[in-house]
Amino acid sequence: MRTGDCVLELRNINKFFASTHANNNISLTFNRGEVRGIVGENGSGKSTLSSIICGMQKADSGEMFKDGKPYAPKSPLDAISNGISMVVQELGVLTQLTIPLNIFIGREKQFSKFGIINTRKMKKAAQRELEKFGLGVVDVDDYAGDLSIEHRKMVELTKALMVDPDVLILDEITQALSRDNRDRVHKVIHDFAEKNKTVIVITHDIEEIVELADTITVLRDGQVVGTVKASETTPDKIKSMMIGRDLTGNYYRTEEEETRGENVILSVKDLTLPGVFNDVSFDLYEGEILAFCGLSDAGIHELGEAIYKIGDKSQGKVLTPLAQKKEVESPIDIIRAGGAYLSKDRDVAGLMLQADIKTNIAIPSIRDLAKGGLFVKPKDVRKKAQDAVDTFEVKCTGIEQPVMRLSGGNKQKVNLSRWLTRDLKFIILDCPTRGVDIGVKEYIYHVLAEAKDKGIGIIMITDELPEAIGMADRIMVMHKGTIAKTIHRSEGFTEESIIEVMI
Amino acid sequence: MNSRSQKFKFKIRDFNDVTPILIFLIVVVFFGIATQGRIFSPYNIKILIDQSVTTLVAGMGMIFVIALGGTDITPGAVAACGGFATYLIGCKYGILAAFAVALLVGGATGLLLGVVNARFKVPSFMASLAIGPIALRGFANIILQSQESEVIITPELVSINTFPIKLPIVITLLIIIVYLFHYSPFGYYCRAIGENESAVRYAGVNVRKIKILAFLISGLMSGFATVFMVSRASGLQTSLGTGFEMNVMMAIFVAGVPVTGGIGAKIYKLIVGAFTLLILQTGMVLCGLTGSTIQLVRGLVLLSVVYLSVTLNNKGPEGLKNLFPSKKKKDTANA
Repeated sequence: MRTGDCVLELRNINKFFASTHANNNISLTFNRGEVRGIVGENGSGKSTLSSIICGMQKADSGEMFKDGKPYAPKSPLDAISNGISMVVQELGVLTQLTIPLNIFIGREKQFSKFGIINTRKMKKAAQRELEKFGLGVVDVDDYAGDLSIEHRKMVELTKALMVDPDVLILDEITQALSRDNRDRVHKVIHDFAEKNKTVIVITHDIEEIVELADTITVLRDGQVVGTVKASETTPDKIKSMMIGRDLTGNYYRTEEEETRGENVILSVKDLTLPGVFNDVSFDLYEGEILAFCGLSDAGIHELGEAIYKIGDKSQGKVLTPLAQKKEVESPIDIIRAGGAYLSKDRDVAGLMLQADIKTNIAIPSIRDLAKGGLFVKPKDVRKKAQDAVDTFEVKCTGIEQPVMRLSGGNKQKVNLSRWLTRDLKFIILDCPTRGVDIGVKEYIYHVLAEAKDKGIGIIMITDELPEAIGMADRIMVMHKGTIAKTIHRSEGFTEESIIEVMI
Repeated sequence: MNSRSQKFKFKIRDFNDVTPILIFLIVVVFFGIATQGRIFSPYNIKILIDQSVTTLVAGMGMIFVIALGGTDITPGAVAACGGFATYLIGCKYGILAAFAVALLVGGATGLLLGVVNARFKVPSFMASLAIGPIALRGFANIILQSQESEVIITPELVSINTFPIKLPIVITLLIIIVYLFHYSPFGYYCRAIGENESAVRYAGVNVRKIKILAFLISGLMSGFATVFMVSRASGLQTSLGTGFEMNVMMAIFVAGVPVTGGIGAKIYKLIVGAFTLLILQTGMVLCGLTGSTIQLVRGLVLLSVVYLSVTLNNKGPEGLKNLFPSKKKKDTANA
């Protein structure tokens, strides 16, 4: 902890949603110059708490004090004028507007004369702000809708920092960020705290928060389990605080040798996506987990899409030697060859959020469910969905429940179950554990290990090195569009050796 | 996060499925009383069924396009253009030829629209506006205006407009469409595309092909509707099918099919919607209201029903409370 001055105090905050006690008598103090992590599993009440602090919701009871004075924000705008600003988990950028407009919206008056906005001046100011916080990787001429999720987050962060708040709340800011952008955000957080200000970081990533924060508050079932100093704890201790029991142990693989089957199940030859990656070639074997790591410009995510042949811009061959049709020309060929692909962007390219669980699970398999390719019995659809939900232990009220009502972890379980309940030969997974809590993460690793034992080949594209190190038989590290290094499990993986090649 | 609200949402989804039937029953009871039962005389019932046929048949095609989030406003123009072709060919070569040529016009229009929309990414509303009401109808007008004598069709074609011929065809079509829409992979894909096109593409489905097929079916069904329309009118005018597509869309949307498509699109809703509108219209006529008043009421009913279903869909149970948002409530909603 850097200093000890109390800037924000919560006393006995309670919040109910129907019968759920989302925040149960929460009392916390936040000090100046402190980076505070708030962690907890999905549904532990951390997002509710942050939305109360920043004025998006009202607490049912309890008080807050900002600099010793009573503080009861009526709206986020009110919170900002009290010096509390937040970057939300659900991105708030206006996709149809340019970045300067996004950054200055509501404050555009300073650039206007006689009711006309001087956009050039605004653009310059936006550029200046972005650079000031070291987030100048974004091109200010773009529309916000054209930005990647990573760059959108940079814009949001700049917008929050610009009002120069006393307390900055970041909800899942580094989720989906690649390592280099994550480092940028970390630097912003540290610089901000150096100015004797407070940062509250809400996150799923325990390893990250232990490194980043000064103190960590753990929530469970709406209650504060405890607040600990980051320097005196370990990720494992935090995790057992979160789930209320000791972890079952190592949820990664323990063996140090790689194992795999004899047959090549997927063969990629000289695959090129102009301007992104060049001449990528490799073979995936039965029962092998092959991980891809790299920075945001390395092209690992684009590689996954190109293997699946979605979009038709890639050159080079993708072969499935064991299938009837050897060469892959479209996603359908991958699926017919017993393959599957899981996008990094679950809510856009994976699930139909407003549709029910049943429909979501059925769609990839509907051709197989149809009797003779023609008639789909609703009973079969329900059975398929119920089996998948049971096998993957999805927490839901039933298969008719809309997917958007599920927690992130359970959404991902549905997403995975759609494919893994099929008779698979191989699967390409892009960030399979993104945005899910530890319990579900552990479960997913368990499922992947099982799939490997059954002889399913797995390509795992990931931003999280511990995951690659823990699960893979082989890691291919990409750097600026080429495979820079291939490491085998038997050689021993270390984070250092991978990062060295990545950068 | 909280199980109570999940159950609530659940109920509302069910509620949204029964809303059309409730509205239908309200309309039935209301006009049953207002017309002192006259609306349910055998004669009026026959008229109701008779009138519903064209809307139903065209709707059974259009619902595929609407399910995947598109719009097809060509049916009226297909009726005008196809109607003339039906007259030319049908009067010479008989009933089968009449259907064949109408299906050809409808199918070709649908196919063109599908390709323009799916392949060249022109939004379906604009594409069908250009192809239908503007191009096709213009073409039909030119031909029809050049006809010197009155255009009257043969008795053989008029005979299509009798129940023994019409009903078996409509029922067969209904069975095929219900199968395609609710029990075939194709129907599942159509509705899934309306939910999230990109997710369906990533599930390895050839979305382009599905879209083109959906527009093709919509066009073909417009073709069927054309023949029924011509045989019922027993002649041709330049105004044939004017505003037809709007009636079809109203029938679909009045019964709570989401305007954005998706799994909320259901065939029974179309049927309930078509009869709701017809009873509304016939009832008002029997009550002695004039044409323009009827038009106004129909519009108001559609507006309120669509507003109701959108509110329920977006906001769930809270939506009911906010049906008439006051200033204060609006503030909390924004926050």
